[in-house]
Amino acid sequence: MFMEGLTVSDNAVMVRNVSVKLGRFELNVDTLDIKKGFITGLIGKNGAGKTTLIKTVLDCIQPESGEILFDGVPMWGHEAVVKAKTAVVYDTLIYPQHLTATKTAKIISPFYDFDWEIFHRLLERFGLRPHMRLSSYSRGMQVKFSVTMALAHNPEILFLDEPTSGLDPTARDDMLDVLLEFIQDENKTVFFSTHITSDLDKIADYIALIENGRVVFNEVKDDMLDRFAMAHVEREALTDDVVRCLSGLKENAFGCVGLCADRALLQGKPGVRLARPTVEDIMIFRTKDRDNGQWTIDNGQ
Amino acid sequence: MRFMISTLSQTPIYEQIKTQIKELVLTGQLKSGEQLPSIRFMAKDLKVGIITVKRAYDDLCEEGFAVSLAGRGVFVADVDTARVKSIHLQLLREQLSDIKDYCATAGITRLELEEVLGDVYGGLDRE
Repeated sequence: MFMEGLTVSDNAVMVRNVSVKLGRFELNVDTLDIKKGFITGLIGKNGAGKTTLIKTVLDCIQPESGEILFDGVPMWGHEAVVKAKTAVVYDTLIYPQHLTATKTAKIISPFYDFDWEIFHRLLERFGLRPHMRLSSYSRGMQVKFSVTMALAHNPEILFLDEPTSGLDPTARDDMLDVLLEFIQDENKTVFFSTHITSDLDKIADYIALIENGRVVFNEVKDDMLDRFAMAHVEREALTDDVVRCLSGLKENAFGCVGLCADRALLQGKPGVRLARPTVEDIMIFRTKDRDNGQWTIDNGQ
Repeated sequence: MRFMISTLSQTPIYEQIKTQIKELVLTGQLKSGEQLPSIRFMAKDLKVGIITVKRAYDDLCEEGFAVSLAGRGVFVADVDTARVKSIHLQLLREQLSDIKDYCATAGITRLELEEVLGDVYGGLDRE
């Protein structure tokens, strides 16, 4: 069916067979497509490789092998084009703290096609004082300033690494509004990593999960939430067949709770109740197995 | 348009949007031929994903509540009153079937149920 602005299924970024070695840590991404016109949320535990992935895509870390294309073009040999259309917000301020907001913009702006109108509009919207030193900004204000700088050069692809951590709920809400406004233009793309998965429950279109340096899946959020199920299993119903379908199994007073990657497998089984998961449930229960090693079930009690 | 969206609900967000638009159509607050907000605008307004809204709109088109016109947007379809009535009856039937199950578990007989229904209507024999 035709839907305006949604027929385009272009990839803003394509990552192919990229491998990175950083000491003992390895990042191996066979395929990752970041869809143009949408918000993709990257989730994963600390140390799973979220920041490494973003830094590799943005050429701050050199991969050993592989290819990364922006609208079909690699960074190498097209740096000016690619850097003009990408922007990044890190979780900490990357600008000298003793400068004021305006001074910082004056120094950075010549490197980009800098839009002062956007800059001033966002400063005002975020309630940031232009002539205040960045060091006197609160942490939340510093993140908002980073977003302002990132958006002021009119990027097409916005990367954010943990932008909402350390922000209070109101500030986070503001941030989500800004991202949704940015994405009103169907040629814009957002890729952001976060621990605060409730933000993704709301606005993300795609969710990518990274575990131990590998992208485990990257799929439409609604499809993912439809497919997975939290299974509450009564003790008597906990057969081997059921156990095989579950990950992150946790015992409680009534039986067990686990995550099922395909709700169809357990649908209608006696003693099993299925509930719709949140993004957080999926992240927690999927990664739990590896933390605890192999779990065993005592079926006899 | 006023929508209530909860990410904590067991009902998928696209389902919540769909049901609420349907209600607006069935109660006549959205008239046939009226244009629905663009997908991206709606996503921003409700603070939900774009694909989520698209899915709700797609479903509404499939069920005949909306039509998508290439290049122009999505519009409320011509919903005839007989069809609306039959949908309402179907919804009622579904709710009553839940009530029937509830009565079975709670040990309420059909006669008792009819009595309660009568009470709700203000006395069984009143027409």
